[in-house]
Amino acid sequence: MRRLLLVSLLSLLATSAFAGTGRVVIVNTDPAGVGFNDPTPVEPVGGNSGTTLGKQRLNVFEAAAERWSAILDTNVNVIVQASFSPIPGCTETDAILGQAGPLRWVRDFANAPKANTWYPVALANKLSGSDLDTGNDIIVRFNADVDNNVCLGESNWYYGFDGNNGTHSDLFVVTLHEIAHGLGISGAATAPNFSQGRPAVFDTLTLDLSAGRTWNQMNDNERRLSLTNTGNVVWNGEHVKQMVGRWLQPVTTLNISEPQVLARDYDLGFAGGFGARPNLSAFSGSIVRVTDVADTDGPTTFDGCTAYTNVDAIPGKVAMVDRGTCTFVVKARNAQAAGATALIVVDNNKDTCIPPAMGGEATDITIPVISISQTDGDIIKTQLAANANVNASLRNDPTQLAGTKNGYLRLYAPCTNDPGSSTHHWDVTATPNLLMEPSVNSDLLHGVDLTVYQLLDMGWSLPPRTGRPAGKR
Amino acid sequence: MSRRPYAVMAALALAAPLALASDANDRVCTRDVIPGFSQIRPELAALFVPAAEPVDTGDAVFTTGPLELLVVRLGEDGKPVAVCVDNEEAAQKFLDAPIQRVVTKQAKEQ
Repeated sequence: MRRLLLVSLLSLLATSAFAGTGRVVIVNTDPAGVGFNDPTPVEPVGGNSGTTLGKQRLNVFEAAAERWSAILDTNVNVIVQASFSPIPGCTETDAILGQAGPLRWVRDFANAPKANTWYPVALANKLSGSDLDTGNDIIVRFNADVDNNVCLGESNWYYGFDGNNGTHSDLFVVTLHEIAHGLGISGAATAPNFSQGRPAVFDTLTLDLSAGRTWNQMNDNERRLSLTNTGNVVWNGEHVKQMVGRWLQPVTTLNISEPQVLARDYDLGFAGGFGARPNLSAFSGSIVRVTDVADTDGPTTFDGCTAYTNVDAIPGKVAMVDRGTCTFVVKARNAQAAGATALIVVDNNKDTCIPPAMGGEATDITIPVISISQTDGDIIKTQLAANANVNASLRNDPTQLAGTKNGYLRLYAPCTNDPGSSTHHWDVTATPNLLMEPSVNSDLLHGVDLTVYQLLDMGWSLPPRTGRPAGKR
Repeated sequence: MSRRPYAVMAALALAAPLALASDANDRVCTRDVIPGFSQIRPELAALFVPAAEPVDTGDAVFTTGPLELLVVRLGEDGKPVAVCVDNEEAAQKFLDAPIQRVVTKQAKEQ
């Protein structure tokens, strides 16, 4: 806590040098009659009082700009070049929603904290206390066709501020996210490249725990390897490090105590609408791999979709089945009927790093159900095949927070087939969900969570009077 | 509305596995072949600015464009699934992958 207070105090001192009069300003670049100027009449929605399509769009942008203005301190306006125009290439089921980023990068300016390092111009202006490069600082462009059924069928933009976006895309959340990229959560070139051989300030805070070095201390090949070093690429900023405990939940893992070769913690996924909530006391025992009849209901002998053939081995044990063919609910029901105390479902997709969250509804299932990755499942199966006793339990470590590694918040360094941009987002294992994850999740509550602390680590500061972000969680 | 025909480009295969050593507590990830990366939408490629100049020009300022692209697909429940990407390859992978495989944080029934 003392360190946190010190960090906050330093932020306040830094801020006091520039009594911030600057704002995040939206510059509407759309021509008359379209985009932000679209005169189509609409009903007010979710707290957005605009009565034309264009006005509602602009209201959302300005609200997002106001949110960032209230949180960050600068004496130079941050100019956002904004437009709402058709982006080609969409279908009824997919589209480009928009694009964003800094418009210029600057290095070695007056008061630059780090030499030979690219800063997004909005941040460089703030740090230097002057407008270094007249013109717009950030570009944000969104796809107007999403609203007219050309793209995504009946799924449109949602312009309310209440989060009731349903099957539509919440523009406010998306705009907060994209402006944050423009404020500096970005590289100066597509990761892991550097522009003109120099890192962006973001790169200087990107730490590879395996290498023990930040990206600016690594060569091109090392950074390319780091790009897929899942779980080991983290944010090396003191503000974020001090605040993760306030935002993130302790992680629950599957702990295997024996055999020794397996003894460690394993990531797991949870079931949603069925089964007991896994807890430390209800989930413990030896794992038994289920064998069952291979038929049309379940074509393999390990999917747990049909009658078990080793039913005598199951009572009092933790059953393990493979994902696939039938629903998670069916697998859980079969395991419970056989007398298992808990069920582990092994993923059937090797390309996915993250054990699946399991959906489905059932009130008759009372045993806890978890999932693990195929990679982890395979090594457990090898030991079971060798007749080893594999003893498993759940472990809840208050010092290990979801989405962190060694106290650092993980950056997104995905396996090959995981979607999303690399490293300029938080890892998707963070819980609860964060604004700057690559997936714009539907449960975000219009807050700026740890994003603001990431910006502080790069050189932004808070307004002197608040000392803390005004954004709600 | 039907999808337009897209130009078929050469499949990309990064043959060398680039697994990085990590401690025993981590998943091992490899980048080998990228399934599905066989088609590029011309419209998509045009949205990405060329990679910034790798050669030192000596300039202390350079202008770029939007590097982050927000791509959306409709999930099986009709709700949008949006991800932010910074390169064509990631965008194309997201668009090509079975929808069940890309909703990494959303519960699936099977």
